[in-house]
Amino acid sequence: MSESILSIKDLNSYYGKSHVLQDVSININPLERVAILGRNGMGKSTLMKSILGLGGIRRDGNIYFNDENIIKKKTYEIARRGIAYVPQGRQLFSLLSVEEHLAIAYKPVKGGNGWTPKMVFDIFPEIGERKKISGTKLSGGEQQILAIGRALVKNPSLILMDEPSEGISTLVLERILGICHRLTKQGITLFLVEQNLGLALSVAQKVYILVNGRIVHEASAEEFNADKESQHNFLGI
Amino acid sequence: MLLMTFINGLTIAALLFIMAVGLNLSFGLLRIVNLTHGSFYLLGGYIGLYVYKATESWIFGIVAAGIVVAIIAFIEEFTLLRRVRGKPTLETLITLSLAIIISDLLIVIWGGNPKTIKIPELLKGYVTLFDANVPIYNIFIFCFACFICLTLWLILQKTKIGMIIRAGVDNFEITSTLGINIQLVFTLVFTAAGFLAGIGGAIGGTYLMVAPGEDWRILTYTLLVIIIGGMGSFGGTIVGSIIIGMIFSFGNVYVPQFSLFLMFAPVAITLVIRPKGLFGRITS
Ligand SMILES: Nc1ncnc2c1ncn2[C@@H]1O[C@H](COP(=O)(O)OP(=O)(O)OP(=O)(O)O)[C@@H](O)[C@H]1O
Ligand SMILES: [Mg+2]
Repeated sequence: MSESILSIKDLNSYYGKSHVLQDVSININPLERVAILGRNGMGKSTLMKSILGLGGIRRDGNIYFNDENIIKKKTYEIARRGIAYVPQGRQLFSLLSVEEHLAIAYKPVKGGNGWTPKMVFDIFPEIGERKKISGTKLSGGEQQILAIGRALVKNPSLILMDEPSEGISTLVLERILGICHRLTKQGITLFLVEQNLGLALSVAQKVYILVNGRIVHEASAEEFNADKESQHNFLGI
Repeated sequence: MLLMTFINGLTIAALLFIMAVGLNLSFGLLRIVNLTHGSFYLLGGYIGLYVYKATESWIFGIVAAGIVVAIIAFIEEFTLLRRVRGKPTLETLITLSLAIIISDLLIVIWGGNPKTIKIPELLKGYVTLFDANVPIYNIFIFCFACFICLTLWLILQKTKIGMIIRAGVDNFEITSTLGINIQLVFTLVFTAAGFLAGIGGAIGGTYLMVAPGEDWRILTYTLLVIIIGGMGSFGGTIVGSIIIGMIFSFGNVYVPQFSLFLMFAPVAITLVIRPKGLFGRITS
């Protein structure tokens, strides 16, 4: 028995013949905030999708969520075990109103101190004021907030967040940062994919670096923050 | 004459809507064009006829047609299509093969002679509207289609399952990351589409006829409706049905030699100016 909430062991992922992830192993402890860093096309999104069984990706290896191997499970079964997903590019539903995005995902928790749609609307009045319009009619930043809200009201124990900073203003970014820190107090573990080094380092406690589908480096956020050489080598900064 | 042609057009439109709405909804969700849909229609016609004769109840005939075809649709989805999900060529081949098998079986069982289902006593007769004698049965088909349309619209817009269907049409992968078993929703919608096709066949067979070839004819018209209206679009199905129904009716009366050409012309024009169809949202 391991301590970790999510443990990926020797994961290999393929799109058809193209071998995208190679022997990826990752450990995430409960309530930890972990980030994957890497440049464009290195396989970050493929990793997130591989955990959830999305995108027609063929996978070898093992993925343990709370000590249960989920690699052969269907997407909805994995999701029901308590994983929520904030996909890259938001991926909201054009046929659903803002309100319906939260209603369709909402899973009340017993005992009653989980996220509710109302809480999301209270914290983010900008989407609360536009409940009836289609989710894809919101501005970029508002869409990102709604995509995060959709994950929150599922009341998961782990959130997979893929590049939340993409195409949004620093103002919105700071509020997302706030939410990320708040997750830990609410008992939610965060697994984040980011290209924005600043955001990743201010959110995460631990970082992994992905280069061409391989994990090439692992460090605490503090270490990596100070390690300008690695930043240069792996991220070209 | 003009009014009567219009009313006939509306009746065909109503029938086409009952057929096309299910086909289009399952296309929106599963991205499959179910070529078995026309055979479902004709099978519904024969079942309706058979049960009507056996029980002397037209209503029983209609309901039986819906139920039997729904069961067959369920089996098709559950045992065959599920295994090849995401492989469009295989999916299309399966629906085509099954269509041919059902068509041939229907000829073996019921022969090649056209049959008609008699209009039940209650729906016989005419009402006079301006200068036209409008058959009550035409009015019935129209009202029935409106009822189906309204019911489906309410389900889609106002219920949880409707919300899930809309989300699935938009993006079924993200829908399943919300913990929703979208596969089950696929099966449900496919079965419901079969139910509507079966009912459509029995109701249509009472208005037109029940005969070999009707399956492919109705399938073709239904596909034209969807191409014009737009794949996966509910409103588009309504508009497409009316356009095709009217062209069919007016074409047959005024330029019968061109009526088939006239039906394909708007399709060609739509494909040129709006490839997704008038209200379409799905490109691939
Ligand atoms: N559906 C697909 N089919 C085939 N190859 C794909 C597919 N999706 C991604 N790839 C390839 O897999 C590799 C990794 O892509 P991925 O989207 O995981 O990168 P990423 O690190 O998330 O990049 P970005 O920062 O741009 O989001 C890339 O080379 C990409 O071209
Ligand atoms: Mg990516």
